[in-house]
Amino acid sequence: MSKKLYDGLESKEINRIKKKSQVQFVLSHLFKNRLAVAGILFLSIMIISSIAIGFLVDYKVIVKHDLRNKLLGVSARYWFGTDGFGRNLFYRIIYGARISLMIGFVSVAGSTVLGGTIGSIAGYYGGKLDIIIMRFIDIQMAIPSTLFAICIVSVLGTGITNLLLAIMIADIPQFALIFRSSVMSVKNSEFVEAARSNGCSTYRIIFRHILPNCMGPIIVQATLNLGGVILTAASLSFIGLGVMPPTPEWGVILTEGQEYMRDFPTLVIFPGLAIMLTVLACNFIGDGLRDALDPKLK
Amino acid sequence: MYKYILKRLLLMIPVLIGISFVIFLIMSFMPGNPARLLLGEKATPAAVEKLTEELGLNDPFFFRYYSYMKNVLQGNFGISYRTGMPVIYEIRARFPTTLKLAFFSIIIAIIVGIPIGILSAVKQYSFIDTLSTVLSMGFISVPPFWLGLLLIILFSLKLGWVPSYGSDSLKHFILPALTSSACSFATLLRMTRSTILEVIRQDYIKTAYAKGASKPRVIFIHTLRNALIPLITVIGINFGNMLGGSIITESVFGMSGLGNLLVLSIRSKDVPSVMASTLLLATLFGIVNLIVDLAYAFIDPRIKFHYR
Amino acid sequence: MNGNPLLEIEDLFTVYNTEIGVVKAINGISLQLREGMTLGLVGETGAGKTTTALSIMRLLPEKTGKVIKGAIKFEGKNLLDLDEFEMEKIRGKEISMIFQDPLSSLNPIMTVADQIEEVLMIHQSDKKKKSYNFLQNSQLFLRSNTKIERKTDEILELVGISSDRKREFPHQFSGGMKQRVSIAMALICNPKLIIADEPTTALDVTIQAQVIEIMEKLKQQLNTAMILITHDLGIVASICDEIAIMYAGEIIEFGTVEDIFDRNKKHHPYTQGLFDSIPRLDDDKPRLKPIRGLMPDPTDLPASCKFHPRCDFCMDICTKQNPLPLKEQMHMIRCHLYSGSKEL
Repeated sequence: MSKKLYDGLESKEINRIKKKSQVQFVLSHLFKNRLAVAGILFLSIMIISSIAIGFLVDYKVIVKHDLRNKLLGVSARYWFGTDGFGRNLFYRIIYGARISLMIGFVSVAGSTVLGGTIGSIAGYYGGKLDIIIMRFIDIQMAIPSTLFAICIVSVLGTGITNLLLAIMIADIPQFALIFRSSVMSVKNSEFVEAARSNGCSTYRIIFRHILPNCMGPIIVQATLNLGGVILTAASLSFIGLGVMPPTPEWGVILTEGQEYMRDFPTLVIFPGLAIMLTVLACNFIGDGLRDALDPKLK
Repeated sequence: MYKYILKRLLLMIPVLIGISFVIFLIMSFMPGNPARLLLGEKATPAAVEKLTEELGLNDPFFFRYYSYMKNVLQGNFGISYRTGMPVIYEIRARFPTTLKLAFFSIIIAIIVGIPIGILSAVKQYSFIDTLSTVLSMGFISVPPFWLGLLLIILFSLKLGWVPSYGSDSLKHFILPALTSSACSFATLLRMTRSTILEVIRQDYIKTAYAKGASKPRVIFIHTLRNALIPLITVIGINFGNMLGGSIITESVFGMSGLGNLLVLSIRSKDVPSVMASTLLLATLFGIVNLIVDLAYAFIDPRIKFHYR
Repeated sequence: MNGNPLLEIEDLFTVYNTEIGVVKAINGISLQLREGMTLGLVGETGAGKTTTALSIMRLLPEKTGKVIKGAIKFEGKNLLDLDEFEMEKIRGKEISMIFQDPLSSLNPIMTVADQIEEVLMIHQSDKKKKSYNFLQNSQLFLRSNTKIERKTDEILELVGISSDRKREFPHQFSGGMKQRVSIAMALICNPKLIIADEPTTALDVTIQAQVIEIMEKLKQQLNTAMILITHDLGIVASICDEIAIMYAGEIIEFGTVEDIFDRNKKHHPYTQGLFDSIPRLDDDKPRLKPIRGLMPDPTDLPASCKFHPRCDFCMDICTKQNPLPLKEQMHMIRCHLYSGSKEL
């Protein structure tokens, strides 16, 4: 059937059709997965509302210290109530989404690019270079990544940028490993051999032939890591080694609420819920993508 | 077999040296002058200079690393800037707490995670399977410190069943162990499910059925033993994550373990304590990985044969 | 032609319910196999050969595969009516199966002896099974004894493996040796029927010949009936008594080896095509003549003759009606080409 369809088509057109249909196939599979769709919806709402709130209201005006209204319960005016300083918890959490998501996206993008470069080089060239890089990765993998991030934070100091850098560096080896193994498995496949025998340049082989063919596992890992990074960032802020108060990072909001948790548990429950749901959304999307990309199911 | 064990043991040495080097390198960038920290703000510059010289802080990097490692191998981790006492005292007092916590947590994770994972795989797509999939996703996504706080609110503050703070009795370990096992239990459950489903697809399972083996026999004798091989790796990785996670769990529950010591030391820029606790946690992680590799060799005849 | 009917398949229909739709894997096949005979099941990939085997063993994928119609009678009992417990007693003891890929069909972490002995131990515990004790039924705790060990040694020698090597693991054996182990495993309970699903496809040509030789020898020694699934006509010619040619879940031609391999007899165009795809030295045809096109989509089979889109002799009636089987003694063909006459 398929053979007949492609008869008489130029090779470029065949490529176009195939590419489109593969992306479409993955997406259609992804959208059939209800949990993944829920994850995409939740994450989009989070992203849009955290961006939109910056244009709609001024953080300093809407979230100000107001000791007369401190520790209020859930109401129409204060959806999540107010904290110990009388600040509106709902707006703080929405603002917190900006910081958490920013840390998440930037750090994952950074570790993907850096880890990707290191891993691809190791995988493509192999030999001594590969051995040296792998030894370094082995050593870093031998240190639990939370521990490693904490070490880096302890040197760099606290703050959003330092936290982001620390988590990014700690995640590099994971991506390097995935890129390395994907590149190595694709490198020796026949179509790359064919490209090489056709006189393709190394650069072209890596970017046009190898990388597009190992995108699948990398996208999945990046999505799953997004959740992990948000979780680590909140954890470090919670123990006072990340973002510092009064910046409305979710971990920070939780620490501040901890003081009142005996009598006002909502101050702890809402920010934690925000973290959990965001991470859950990332995991649902990552899982959905993995299933959609899994060649065994095709 | 002995060859294999020996090889793994030898391979661990460069990794441990590498770990200590990387951590020492990072820590050498730690801002602040330790001599000033030890002597306090009021000390004269001359006194600070004298102590700096005495501590060997003016020596070149590699020399400092060498002499530090020489001391460490003799059990001397230096003097804590925070307490003024040898670091080893505090480490010795705190190490059992961390080890106990990780041990209890991994036991809980194994006891709960693997059976539910098996059930989930055997009854794929059933209600139990869906429920356990969704629950495990939730447990993977839950921030451990938040789960800890929720447990404290419910079981200590509201119900008053268990203490919320400290690490004196076994009772103190219940909530922390539950907290830090949550994520591992969930990953273990998912991995058990997926490896079993993977193994069930294999031809040798079909062969086993064709021999006339009953379903329980196929699941427990043929499937589970083969699935155990990848699962052991997952248990090892989880143990490592638990050591990293102990930093957070211990500070939520105010337990006097290595993780809490690490946080405390970082806050007070107590480099010898940070070095010591990081090094120990990483070494422990390395030892667990070694045990995983050895366990592999006992289960998988292919490795045993390779190194005979 | 001697022997009583051992296995009778009557009008069997098997489907797979998959995501893409209902795959009609077997569409009404009927077969008879007598004691001690060897039947070759020939056809291309996807013709339903393996599905037939799995239907007999009742080992279709639990969630998707299902027999929707028909009967499989083994010594007069309909296997489809048995419960799982009774079926377990038949598998491995009365009917056993050899799978295609010896590399993956042996459990990698059990010794060869353990895997062979397991068959004996499972069926030894059958007698005790009358007491419905869960632990006994679950067969989790089985014990080997000297009798079992002796039997294992015997069978290993029989398939040409030294019993010194029985405590070794599958990865220590070569592909051909592993397939011998599979054969030993299938034979150890002296089953009445062996189903061999492409037992040589995954092996090197030289090893193929050895394995076939062993199977032939043992079959004669033990007088076991066999269904040999293959797409290799050479193997079929060397050891089969009867041949069924399958296409898209139907048997389109059936006959003795003499019937099928006699070029002067009438044949189904597909069978003709199969023979034309094999190189022959004694022929002066310049080129092979492959069958054009591919197998029809099993989720959307034509209601008429399933082969007609690829058939060189396609007539009007072929697109409208499914041909009925035409018989001459043992020889059976399903094709409109010959439906003018009542007999072949």
